[in-house]
Amino acid sequence: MRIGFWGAILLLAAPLAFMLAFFAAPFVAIAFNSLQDPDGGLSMSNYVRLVTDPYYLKAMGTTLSIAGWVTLITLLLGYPLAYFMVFRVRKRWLKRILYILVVTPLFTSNVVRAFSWIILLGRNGFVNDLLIWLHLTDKPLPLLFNKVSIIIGLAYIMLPFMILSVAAILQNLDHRLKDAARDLGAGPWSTFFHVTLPLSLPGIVSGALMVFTLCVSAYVTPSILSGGREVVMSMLVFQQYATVLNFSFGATLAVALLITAFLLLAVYHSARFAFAKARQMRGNHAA
Amino acid sequence: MKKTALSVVVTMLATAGGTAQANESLNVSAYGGSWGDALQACIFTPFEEATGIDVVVEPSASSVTLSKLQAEASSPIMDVAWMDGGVSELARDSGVVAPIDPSLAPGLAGVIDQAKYKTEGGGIYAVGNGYFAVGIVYNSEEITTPPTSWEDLWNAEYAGRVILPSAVNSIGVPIFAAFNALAGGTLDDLTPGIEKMKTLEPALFFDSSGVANSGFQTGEGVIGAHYATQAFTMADGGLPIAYAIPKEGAMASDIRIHIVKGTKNSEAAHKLVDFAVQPAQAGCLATRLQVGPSTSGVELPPEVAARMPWGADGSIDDLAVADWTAINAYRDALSEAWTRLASGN
Repeated sequence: MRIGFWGAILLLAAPLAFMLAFFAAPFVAIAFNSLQDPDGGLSMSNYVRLVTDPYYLKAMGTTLSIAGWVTLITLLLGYPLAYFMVFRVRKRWLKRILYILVVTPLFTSNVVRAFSWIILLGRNGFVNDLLIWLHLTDKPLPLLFNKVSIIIGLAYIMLPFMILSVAAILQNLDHRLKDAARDLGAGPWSTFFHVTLPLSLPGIVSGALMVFTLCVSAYVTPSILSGGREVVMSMLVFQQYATVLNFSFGATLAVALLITAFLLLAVYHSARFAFAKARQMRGNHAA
Repeated sequence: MKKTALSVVVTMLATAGGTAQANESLNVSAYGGSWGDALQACIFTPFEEATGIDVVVEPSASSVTLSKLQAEASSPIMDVAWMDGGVSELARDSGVVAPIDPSLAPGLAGVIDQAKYKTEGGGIYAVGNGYFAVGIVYNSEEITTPPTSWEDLWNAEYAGRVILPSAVNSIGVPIFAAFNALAGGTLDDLTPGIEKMKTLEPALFFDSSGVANSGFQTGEGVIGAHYATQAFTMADGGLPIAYAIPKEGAMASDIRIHIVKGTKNSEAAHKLVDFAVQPAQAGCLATRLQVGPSTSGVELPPEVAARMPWGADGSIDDLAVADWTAINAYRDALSEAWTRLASGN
């Protein structure tokens, strides 16, 4: 049975209305607010302040670099875990338990998890005690209240998102393709890099997108684990809204962050597109 | 039979509706955490029992409360709001609080004059509900000679282990103003304070007390500017943490009660204000939070009196209460300079 034109409109109407009411409309209001100067007139002064002050650009850089590192780390940790769960674990019940274990941390508040890292990463914390005991260092390393602690805290929170999106793709991968590659003489590594990895790219892409965007907008974890020594955009936005009470500059920071993230995603997508096209061409030549 | 059952249900619904209407309720914005617990136990619960008016609390930090009140200004949801000194003045200036009428809250007669905050027109826009102090909090195991001055934070031995409030915390900005003044600066000229701060090596800047406490607990910091209350809480929890009043004077501020402009429950709101400043309530808060009562004639047991922000034998006159109106005029600049210093920019 096909859904008719009006049927499709009807089905789309609800999510569309929801997005319009709770995302588009507030965003327009915020964007408009960001163009207001303190006297309520329209001006670009907030944006000029943002672009001309290296402090805000640096905060933007910190935010993006933290999100980039977390994406890379969750990919490097999450991919092997997802691979293991999908291909190596044969028993169904064990697989289920592993999925539950991956998801369980999501049920705990980020606040609690950030505070746990303070205890673990502190001067007298577990991690430093362990490093000293292993004679890897003779005095405690500064692991807390810097970029390192923010990245560790966020990577821990984001890992399940990466594992789940990669595992979802690996799960549906046609196993016979791997067997075929092995049959045709490809070694395990060659099979992985030429068959499994390219086929799982959609999972990596969606996982990376999710992790990156969640990191860019994260507030609780950076604000607790930065100890105020590092500043990310969400903290500046909060400060403008909640303590300086300059709502229009807060809006400017938020809009600038969103635009930058969109631009980066656009670059990412066009690079991927170009890459895929190049591969296709190469494939055609080989054929 | 069917009809009777239906009519019973209708009667029940009607009665339920009736009681809901008879039960007035107040929406109150107050603190979370231990301060919220204390307000609940000392004020809200006994108030509900005494008056039958329900108190629905929405917890948030002072500055967040203020932005909420501003956002809701056209149709206020909150009736009464607890906010810290400093934020209170901002609330006054942004016109989100209503004057408190002493004839509707006769308990105000027992409140000391300094704690009845008045607009230029003479109306009371806020009532103090207790003073708290920010002084030097230190690890008494690592620091055996008690610190005596804010200058001790610059001691080379504590480099990299100093804990300070961030600009998001309500005492961050006034602490910076105080340090700037000690360094010889004025609110117009923050350079001395900025230069002075550059010679200090902090461990962390805390948004909320919990982060500072964890910092002391894990040994990240050994000394810092922090709330006296929190020092006593940590000490009572068995940690080697002590509190010292610097010779320049502990910095003080207070928690204040406001009635939200445009409230539809003005009378009940006044009843809550009246109830909150009664000596029994002020004494209860003093015991639980070590806040100095702004209601006169509160009898405190000696162990509570010893922990008052003004010290065992002091009084309100010994406190260096921050000049919020002046600080607020420079809030943007102070806040930005402080955040930049914190992140080493």
